[in-house]
Amino acid sequence: MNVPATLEVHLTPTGDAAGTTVLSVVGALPHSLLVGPPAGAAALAPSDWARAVIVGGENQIDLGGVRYLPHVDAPHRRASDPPRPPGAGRLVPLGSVIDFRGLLDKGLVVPLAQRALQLPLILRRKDAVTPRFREYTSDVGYDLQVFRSMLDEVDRNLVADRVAEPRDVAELVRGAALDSQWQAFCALFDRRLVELADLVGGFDKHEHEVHGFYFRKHMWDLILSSQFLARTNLKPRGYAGDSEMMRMVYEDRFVGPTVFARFMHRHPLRSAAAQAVRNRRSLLAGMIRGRIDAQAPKGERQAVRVLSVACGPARELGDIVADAGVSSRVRFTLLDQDESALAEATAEVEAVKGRTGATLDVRYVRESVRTMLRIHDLRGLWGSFDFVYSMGLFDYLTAPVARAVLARLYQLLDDGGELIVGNFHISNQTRVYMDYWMDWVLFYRTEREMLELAADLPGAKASVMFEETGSQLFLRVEKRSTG
Amino acid sequence: MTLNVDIEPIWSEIDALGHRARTYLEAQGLERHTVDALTMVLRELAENATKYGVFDGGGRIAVSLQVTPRDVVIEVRNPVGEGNDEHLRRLDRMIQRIRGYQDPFEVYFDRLREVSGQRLDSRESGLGLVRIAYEGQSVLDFYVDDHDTLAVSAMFRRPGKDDHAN
Repeated sequence: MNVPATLEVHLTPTGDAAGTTVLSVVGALPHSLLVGPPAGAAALAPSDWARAVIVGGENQIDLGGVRYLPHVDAPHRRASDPPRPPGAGRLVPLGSVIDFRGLLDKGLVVPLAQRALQLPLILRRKDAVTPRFREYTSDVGYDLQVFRSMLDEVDRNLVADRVAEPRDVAELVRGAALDSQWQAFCALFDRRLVELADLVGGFDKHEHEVHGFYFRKHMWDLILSSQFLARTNLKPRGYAGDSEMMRMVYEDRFVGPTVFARFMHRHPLRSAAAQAVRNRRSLLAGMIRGRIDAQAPKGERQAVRVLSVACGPARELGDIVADAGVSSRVRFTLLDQDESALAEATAEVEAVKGRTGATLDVRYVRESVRTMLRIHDLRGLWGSFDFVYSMGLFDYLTAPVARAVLARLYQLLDDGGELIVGNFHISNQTRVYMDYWMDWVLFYRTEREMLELAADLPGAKASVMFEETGSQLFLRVEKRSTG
Repeated sequence: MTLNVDIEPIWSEIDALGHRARTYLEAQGLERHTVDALTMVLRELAENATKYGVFDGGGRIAVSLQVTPRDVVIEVRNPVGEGNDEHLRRLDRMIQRIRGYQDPFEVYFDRLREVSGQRLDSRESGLGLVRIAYEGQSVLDFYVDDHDTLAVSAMFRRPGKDDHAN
């Protein structure tokens, strides 16, 4: 049963007063309810009520005592003034803190007291953490906070009330701090990462989970100081590795309000795994350009048809289509489950068009690969392809699903076509960094496991290769004629 | 070693399946607590298949249990009919969310919070899937094939195996 479209609050007065006042719920803020005026009665004054009950269809939730506060009719003079909230006023529970964020879409309210009851569950988790790991975590936090204190002093001096520096001067000073301290910061951080890898080597899955959870709880404010680490941990789109994270990896810049924040943002972007992501982009672009030159020399045959699965921001398109002479010889289909990723890919395509003056034949498909397999006539719907690639997808698929997806993509290839999928290798040297700091877990594979995915494909010639760092593995499958 | 079983989509079959799986897992030499965890995983997957499957055409639930020296992989398949898109999208989001964290406890705790709150509806909490990841220590995944069959799998790394080695 879904949440009823109309919700009401039934208010019981305090004292001996009789009757019930009914208000409609027009919105839910984290800790208060926005309500309309009482139907057919005078507007309510600020008032306390003995009991408020949310009623939706046949179900109800008792909130206990509440205070009604009407909206203040302040004049709206500046564009920056907050808009008047909807409804006539708001109800605030008294005596308890209630989280209303899930009310409108899930029909859910959560009292803080209920959450407090679950705290022992979290607190007990630390009992399984080894003393050595606790000591390590404490030392890493200390080291980084000491570094931060030193750098934050520079930032504070630049914005101090009486001697605030002009922006260009402040940036020059920050640039000097970056130049002079970056190597020392990296040396410290890298050394601590090596120690972490030694410490957790040999842990089983559960031990990694418990220790990673403990570690991130201690490092949380350091993690949030980095735009990149904050995003990998918070996962605002509900999954890791979104197109915005990929954009940060590709741009690989110092970003953040303070010198320390810039260090914390940039450091993971200098890791081997991040470099592997940049490497695979140029490697792939080279392969596709080579295919275009070989298969569709200028003025001959039809355009090369390319499918990118889980395309993300599709930055490689700009590397492939360097000029209008290339754009007429290639046709792209870009598939992603995420609407925001497709919007970024569209922006990339438009940027390429603007830069090269080329027209570009691109089709966008919004689909999850896990449900894509359900489509009966995929080839009839999307056509067939000369080159299919997927770079950041198979790291998230277990073997049964990876095999099914690969088989389906292989069906979309014409004879002579090629399929290439990337997957981080089991030996990825950034793995501990990703697991513990980034909370970014992947499904790692060996060469043998990659080749096994293609073992049952008819007419397939499969091989594996690596990019330069050795972190990223690629399965290449050529489709030979089976006729 | 693989155990393949087909069952009717009725609750009493799940009990029988649980007993059979337990016997099979014990015969493979798995430890008691691992057998308990994996039996729970299998039951949760079979219950979901019974609850959300579409058996108009008289379809059954296909269960496979594969034990290798490194992993145990449980796969449960059931027909979902031609519609059911919203349920599958929700499943997709839920599994990606569970898989998105190093520690499934993050999602487990979040689900407990929802379960402990007061609700106006009776929508499923998704706690069963989270239990598979957290209590069952298994990596979830799924796909739907072109016969409208949903295949949900849970992969369990056997205890004592370094999770960062191969």
